[in-house]
Amino acid sequence: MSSFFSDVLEGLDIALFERKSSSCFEPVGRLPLWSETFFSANDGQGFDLAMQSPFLENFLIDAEGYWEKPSASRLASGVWTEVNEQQTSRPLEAFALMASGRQLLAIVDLSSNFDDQQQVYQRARELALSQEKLTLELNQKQRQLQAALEQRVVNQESLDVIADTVAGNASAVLICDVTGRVQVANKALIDIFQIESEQSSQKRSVLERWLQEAEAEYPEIKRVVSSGSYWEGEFESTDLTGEKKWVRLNIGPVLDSNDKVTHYICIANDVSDIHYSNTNLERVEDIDLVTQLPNRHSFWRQITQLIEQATAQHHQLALYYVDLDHFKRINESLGHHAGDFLLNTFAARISHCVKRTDIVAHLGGDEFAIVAQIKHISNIELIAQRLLESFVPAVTIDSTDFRLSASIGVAVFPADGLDATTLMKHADLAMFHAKELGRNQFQFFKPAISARFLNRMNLEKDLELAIQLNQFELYYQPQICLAEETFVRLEALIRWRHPEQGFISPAIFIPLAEEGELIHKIGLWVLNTACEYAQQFTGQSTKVVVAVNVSACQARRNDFIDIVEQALADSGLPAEQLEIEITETSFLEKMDEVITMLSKLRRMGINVSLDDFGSGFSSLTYLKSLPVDNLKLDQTFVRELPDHEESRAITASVIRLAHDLKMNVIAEGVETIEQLDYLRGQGCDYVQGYYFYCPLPGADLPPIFDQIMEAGAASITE
Amino acid sequence: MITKKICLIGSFAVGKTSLVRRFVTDGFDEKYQTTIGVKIDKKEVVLNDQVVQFVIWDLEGPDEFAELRTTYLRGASGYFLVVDATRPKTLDIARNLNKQVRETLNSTPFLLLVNKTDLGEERRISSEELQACIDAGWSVMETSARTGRNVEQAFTRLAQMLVGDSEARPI
Repeated sequence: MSSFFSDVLEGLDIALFERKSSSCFEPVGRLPLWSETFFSANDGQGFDLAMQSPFLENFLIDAEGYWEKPSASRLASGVWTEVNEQQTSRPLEAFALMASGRQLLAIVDLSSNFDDQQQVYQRARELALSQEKLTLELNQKQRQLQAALEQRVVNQESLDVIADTVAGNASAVLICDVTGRVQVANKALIDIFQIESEQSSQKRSVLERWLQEAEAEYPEIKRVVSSGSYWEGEFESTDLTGEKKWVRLNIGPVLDSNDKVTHYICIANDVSDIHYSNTNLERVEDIDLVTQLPNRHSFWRQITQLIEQATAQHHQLALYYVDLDHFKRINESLGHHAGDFLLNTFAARISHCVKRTDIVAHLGGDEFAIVAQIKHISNIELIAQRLLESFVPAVTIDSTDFRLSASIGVAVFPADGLDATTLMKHADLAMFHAKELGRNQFQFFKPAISARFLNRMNLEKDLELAIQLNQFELYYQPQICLAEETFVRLEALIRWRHPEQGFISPAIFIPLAEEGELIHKIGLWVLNTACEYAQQFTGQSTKVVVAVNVSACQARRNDFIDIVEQALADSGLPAEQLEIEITETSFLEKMDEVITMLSKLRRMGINVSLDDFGSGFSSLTYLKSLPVDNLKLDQTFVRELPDHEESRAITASVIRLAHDLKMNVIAEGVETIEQLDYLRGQGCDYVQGYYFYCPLPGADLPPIFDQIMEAGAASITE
Repeated sequence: MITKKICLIGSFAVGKTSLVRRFVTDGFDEKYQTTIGVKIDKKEVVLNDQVVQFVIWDLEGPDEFAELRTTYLRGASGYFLVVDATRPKTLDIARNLNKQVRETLNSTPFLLLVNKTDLGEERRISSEELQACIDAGWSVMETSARTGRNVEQAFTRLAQMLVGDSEARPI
């Protein structure tokens, strides 16, 4: 059992057991922590799960049957809530499986999605309850009214008087004689069921029409009514304007002393709203609660139907996969309520970009999907453009304007796929491509994107193995002091020697690693290796200070300080010989926490450099509050020195500002003597670049330590 | 110790979970919280001077989201059919459910509980309708999980039906 597989099971909150006998189950891999509070092993006898859970005891009877003769890929138990002795409860579901002849039982912890599911069911059932109550009250009122009128007719009260008293009643009232001739018809009957007040022939036809319409659902209605029995029910009716309505109708016959029908008293109400709400209720499971749009589950059903129709009618469809850019930051910084508000707002805007008959769905998180029926190919791009523009207006939350953008991938049926799965995959790849190209744009699917994605997937796979297979190397680039220096400063730079593709640039693999947890492993390896390298010169004539780049996600880890302390302790490197380089993007999120962390590093004696200064958002206002020792001037400015006037001005200003703030300046990417002379003239403290040294393997550096120390002074031109 | 499995069956929101809660912990929550799947509780009662453990299966009320899974009924010694006194529809549903249940639990004792009787004015299930159930051979009890009316008695009565004993009492 690989640790990878164990990690996967743990990550998915699955307790996996193998059945050894009817009363003995052995865990497969590590069991998640929660399972230990519910299920425990007998000494050396494995787990007797049936003994420990009445629910499993019952399910295992079905599971035994399944394991003996598997009829499907798995057998599910359904959800149950297990309660342990401490009265802690947990929603679980068990699955019986067969794999490679092994009888397996997977118990899945559903806690993470359970609240959402319960919310949907709760809401649906509360709605159903209120509808049921409403219907009940209406029925009660109709019956009471019908009974009261029946009594008055039996008492031979004047029909004109009765007509006056029911004239303003909210329920439609119709009293006919036994031939169907209308005796009383109130305003509600005329208004709701669109009969004309003066034409008694039409009024007469109302009861006949209702009987005919109700007959479709209640074939016995005419027999019941003509026999003098009471009838009530609901049916769909079409009024004279052609509008369809659901009618709740009571028909009560009035009998004379010989039990002969003299009148029919009918009470009717338009219950379309209740009826359609009930119908909608069945769809609650398909609706996303945040946006009120169809959810992923519903979307799949709808897109499949639409593709079937489009295939039959030879139509084109365009599938737009929309992903909001940097939405996670909003959720993290402003909270989920603000996030939900934004999703709701954008859902409404997106819905206005397409026709009502098109599909707009919220797939979850910050992802939406739209399927539009396309008549003209030129419309595909127009809709994509419209969707992008719908994100442009700011959304105001608590008096603050927020602007978001989206990346959109487009796949077209039938050209880019003949089924929903292929289309979705291709639209998703195109969206991903739009993100790679800088976000806030749409991209059409092209086969080349698919190939690129495959390459990327392979690279990700190889990257996972690179640490284990020792494929990373550290190179070191000297930073030259332009004044006097007593130690060698080196920046550690990672290199990946791929067995087939040769050296792969960090610009390619670091972003890949940053998308997952791998960056932490790589970062740790770099830190440890660099510290060990610098430490080997401790006690020798040359002292080495090594600068290590730390990615934004590493810097935001709660245990980053512990990691650095551990690296120093393990290597024995004095703290003042380690320098941490972070980029401006590290401050975009959790700024206060990062500042606190950097302050702690400095108190430990570690130097901190702000890398790539000038390439990002470079706010001068935040600079004064940052606990950093060095500013690294981005090479984009250095490259344009000394000819480019603006770069000259920026460089001079940054150096002046840094010095005013008691910071040193390190200029990156110095490649020419002219650049060097200009920087020296402005008082730049350190330079780094190919003019002096390219990054070199660690072993190549000790012989040139003296040269490195003197390189600054030696480079002065007359 | 003898263990007896009993199930609570009925439409959603009739108060099955509240009845169990009242019986097991003597508590009640005004807020309706729908059950998903199955929740199992245990309580011991004394029957004929012998401790019997009730394993109480509170089953999700069937509707368009959930069906009654008759495999959950396997091994039940008895069951409660629960209806809401204010919702006549829940009695129709209980009748239909009982047809399904009888296919699995052919001669297992059961008791119809007409719950929420504390909502007197809102009551919509008539005594005639209940009499029809009694005439059909059903045992019927009126309960209120909110006030606790007849809850303990209902469990005790079912226990008596299971063992034919008049000495059942909770501990």
